[in-house]
Amino acid sequence: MPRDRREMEGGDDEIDLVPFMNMVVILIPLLLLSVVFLKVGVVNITAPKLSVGPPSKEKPDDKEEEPLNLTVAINDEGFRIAATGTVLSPVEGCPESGPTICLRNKSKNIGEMVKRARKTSKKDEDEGDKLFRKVSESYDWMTLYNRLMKIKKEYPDETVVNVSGDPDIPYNLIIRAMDVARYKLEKDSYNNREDFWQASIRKSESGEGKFARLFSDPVLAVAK
Amino acid sequence: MTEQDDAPSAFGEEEEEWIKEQRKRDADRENRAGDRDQEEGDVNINSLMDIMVILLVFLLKSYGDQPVKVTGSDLKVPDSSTKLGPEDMTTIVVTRSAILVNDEKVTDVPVDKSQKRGGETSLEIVRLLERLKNVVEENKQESKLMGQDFNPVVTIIADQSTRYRLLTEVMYTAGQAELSKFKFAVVRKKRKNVSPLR
Repeated sequence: MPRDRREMEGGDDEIDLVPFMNMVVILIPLLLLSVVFLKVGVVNITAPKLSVGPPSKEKPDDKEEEPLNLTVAINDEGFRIAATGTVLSPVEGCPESGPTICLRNKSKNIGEMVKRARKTSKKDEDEGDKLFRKVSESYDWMTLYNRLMKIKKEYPDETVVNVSGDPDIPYNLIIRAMDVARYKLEKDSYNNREDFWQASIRKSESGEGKFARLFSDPVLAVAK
Repeated sequence: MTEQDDAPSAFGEEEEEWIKEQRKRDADRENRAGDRDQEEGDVNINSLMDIMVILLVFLLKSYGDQPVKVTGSDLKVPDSSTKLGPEDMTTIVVTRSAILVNDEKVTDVPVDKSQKRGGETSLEIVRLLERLKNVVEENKQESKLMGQDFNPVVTIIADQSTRYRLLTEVMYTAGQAELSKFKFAVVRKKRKNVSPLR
């Protein structure tokens, strides 16, 4: 009898932590593996005009000025920018007949590169990611920003930009185009790509903590 | 012990003495061994436990924190410098191999033309539309019960390689199901880190 009591006492003054420890040790690696150390964000998009949703309440008000209706279309050769109904003529250094802003290296075949990137992504995610980045690098985002800033100066209140692309253009280019068009950067125009990508976003003059908007309301247009 | 000691013994006095001695020695040895065992087994795990419990709570919290999950074996969401955070709502996921609505598979990618109303050139994906209509109906009833207005927003989580054409098809189909506002999920990064130069 005394023996039993002693044993009971021994069990009482220290909780058996072993099962709990086992659980914790298993749970922690499991959660560590499944936890995503990524910050998720969203980009607000207005529906393409083709879609049948509830009609928007805002009606375009008739001003004397022609509506800007800025459109950035991405295709294999670069960006085609249209404003007030006309396609802007190519910038300096781009072929007369081509898009408004051509690729940095005109000889690159974007279609082929995208195809290869898609194929590689199936086998090797990281390698595919690199190829997609290469595709993105071929486009002249800096000139696009410079051009948009020029337009913004003429239409300071306009924030809507229609973004469109050829059917085969990958999604990451669309997102990148909206990124470039979203906020003003420190300078109005850049000559050096390194500086352009390192630049931080300009703070808005009116509200503290807000950012100066460039064309921050993207509308996706449906590809024909 | 006492019982044994008091019991009449068959041994001689000397022998008994010796046995007692032996017993004592044994007992001592046992005690000592016990002491040693206890010292070795008594590693202080309290601090370790503290760390583990804190880690566990932290991980559990961050696990349940994100309303939108953006990783998968065939899903690589593009990076962006956007400043907006995600919300919990209906999601359409477009991976490299399938389209999912609220984590349930709806159709394969690339979408077969038999899946589209009116053939190849159509923008409407039939199965997706059906599924979305159901979801919208559920959401409408839910918000009715809650006394709120139905908010026609949908989050689209798409792989970076998704063709623009497919994206417009998905958006058009969602539009047909009365979902007219879109949020594209991206991986939020600092502007310098989204640079293609890197």
